[in-house]
Amino acid sequence: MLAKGTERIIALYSLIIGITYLIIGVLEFVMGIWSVLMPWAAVTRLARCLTGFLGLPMDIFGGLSAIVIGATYFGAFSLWKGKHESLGFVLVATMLSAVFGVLYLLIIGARGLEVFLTFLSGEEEWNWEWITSGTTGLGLLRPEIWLFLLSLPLAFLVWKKAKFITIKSKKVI
Amino acid sequence: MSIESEVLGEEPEVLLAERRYEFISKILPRVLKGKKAITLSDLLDKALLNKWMGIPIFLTLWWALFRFTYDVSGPLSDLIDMLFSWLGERAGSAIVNAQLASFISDAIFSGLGGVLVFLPPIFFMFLGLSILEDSGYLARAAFVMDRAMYKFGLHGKSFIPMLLGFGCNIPGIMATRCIDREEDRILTILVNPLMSCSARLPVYVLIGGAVLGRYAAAGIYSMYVLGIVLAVLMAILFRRVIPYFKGKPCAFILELPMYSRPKLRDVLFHTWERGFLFLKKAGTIIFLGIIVVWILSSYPWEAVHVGEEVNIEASYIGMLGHTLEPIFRPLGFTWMAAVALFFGFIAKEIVVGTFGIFFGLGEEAEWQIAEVIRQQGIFTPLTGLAFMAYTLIYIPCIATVGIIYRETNSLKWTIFTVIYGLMLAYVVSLAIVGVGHLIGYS
Repeated sequence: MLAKGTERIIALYSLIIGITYLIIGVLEFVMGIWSVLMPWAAVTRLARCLTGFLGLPMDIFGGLSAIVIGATYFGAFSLWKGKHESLGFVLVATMLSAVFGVLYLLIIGARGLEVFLTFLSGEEEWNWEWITSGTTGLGLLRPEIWLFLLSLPLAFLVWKKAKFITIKSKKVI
Repeated sequence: MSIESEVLGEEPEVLLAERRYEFISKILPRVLKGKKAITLSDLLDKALLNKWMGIPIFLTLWWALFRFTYDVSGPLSDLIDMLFSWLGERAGSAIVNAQLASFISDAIFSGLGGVLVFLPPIFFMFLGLSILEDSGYLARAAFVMDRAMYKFGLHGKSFIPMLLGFGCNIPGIMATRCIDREEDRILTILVNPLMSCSARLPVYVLIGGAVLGRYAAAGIYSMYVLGIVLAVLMAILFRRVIPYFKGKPCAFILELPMYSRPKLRDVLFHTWERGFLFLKKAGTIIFLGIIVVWILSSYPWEAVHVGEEVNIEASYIGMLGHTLEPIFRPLGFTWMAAVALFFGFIAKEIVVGTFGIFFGLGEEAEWQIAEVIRQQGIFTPLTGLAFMAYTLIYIPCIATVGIIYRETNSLKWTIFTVIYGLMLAYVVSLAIVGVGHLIGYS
């Protein structure tokens, strides 16, 4: 059985991760839009400098996805008031975090395999750049991967809580 | 409003569902005590069916699916590419007869091989779709989209045929049989070809990979979103402009299944079942289409093959391309692109095969079509995007046109679908090029 304050811990934890996702998503989206809609060299260079400084990729749809994940985490807000139904939002948000975290890891793996294949065919020399570059923007440095790892304890907590609630409600019947 | 609806004061389906649930809610308190048990499905539905978050979550999952399709399948495509390159080189050097050598290396290994390279993304897309379907999420997606679609004049039941259209427009159009009202059904059939079927995916992957660089996945995703947006806009337009479609669509009742953990065996089976259709198509209609393209691009043999040089512009296909080129010039498409689109009418995959034959003929040892497109500047990022949009919207493949005729039983609606598709494709591509020029792209 989970402690009484678990709901509040989940709500607070969700809120922190949600805000982080939201900030990252907005920056990725804005920088992405900026570089696409204003393709002039100086503007793009400036956007690159900014994203490089902040350690973020310029990714329109990736940014929008991070915003959606962040907004879903915010659904946990009413958990603070003891509304168990809001657990659904945290469940879905942690699932989305996992989907994107694993997806970005898979993309990095696939990129590594591509580099290995070109190395085997003798087209290019072996290098490790794929770990910190490629279509994810920053490879393993992509913030969504680290946010996914950070959300794992929350996923564990919320999963246990959800199981507890569903079993308890069956017992009432 | 139908006569039944007028008499009952409500649509019969809605009334039946309401009465059924009324009856259930009367019985339940007598046989059960306490509160209704909360299930995991209830908890998940709080978020996934939420009024505000439902559609964004759906689009987010869709984006993840396309990144998975495009970015993760890359190494497998490379392996197939390497295999066909090796086979092509072997065949080219081992066969003495020039025409037979050209047929084997250009038509089979470069043309058909160029299409088969896209087998991994297609299988990956179906794998992702099968996971979503088997988990019970796709039914929720239909429910979530119904609210928006109803507002735009499409029947909620239209979503399933439209979703099927992402795989192939033929089963999508056939699935419209579940829509009861004839007007709603025909409207769904008319906009179904705008759903980007898996045959268009190789074209997006090829052109996107060639000219959009790190934005390739975003370009591909945009095509799918563009398809949905255009389908909705066309539905609104047709409802307002064509008297036959006037009025509101009838109600949509959907019973949602419980969520379940997808079983690996079932997911793999569904993936294979759907992906195999692409393989079958590659061995039949695509193969025949590619042979036609090869013949037209290799003959008259003496005019095309002058010594070691290959002059495709002197071929029958070159003549056809130059005839079509003026039409596509405002969009920035070359004669090669015009010909590829022309043969794409047989099957969309032939667009890729046509480029494969062109570059196989011209480049001898160069098999990677995307690389040649990039090097020769056939498309810029802007015209590449316009070409992808054109491929999405213009005439559906010949088999889809046939099924539209069969399902509408009307030559008028079939011709209408073809003509509006061609016009819309041209307008949208022109708009992409125009807006792109305005914001500084070439």
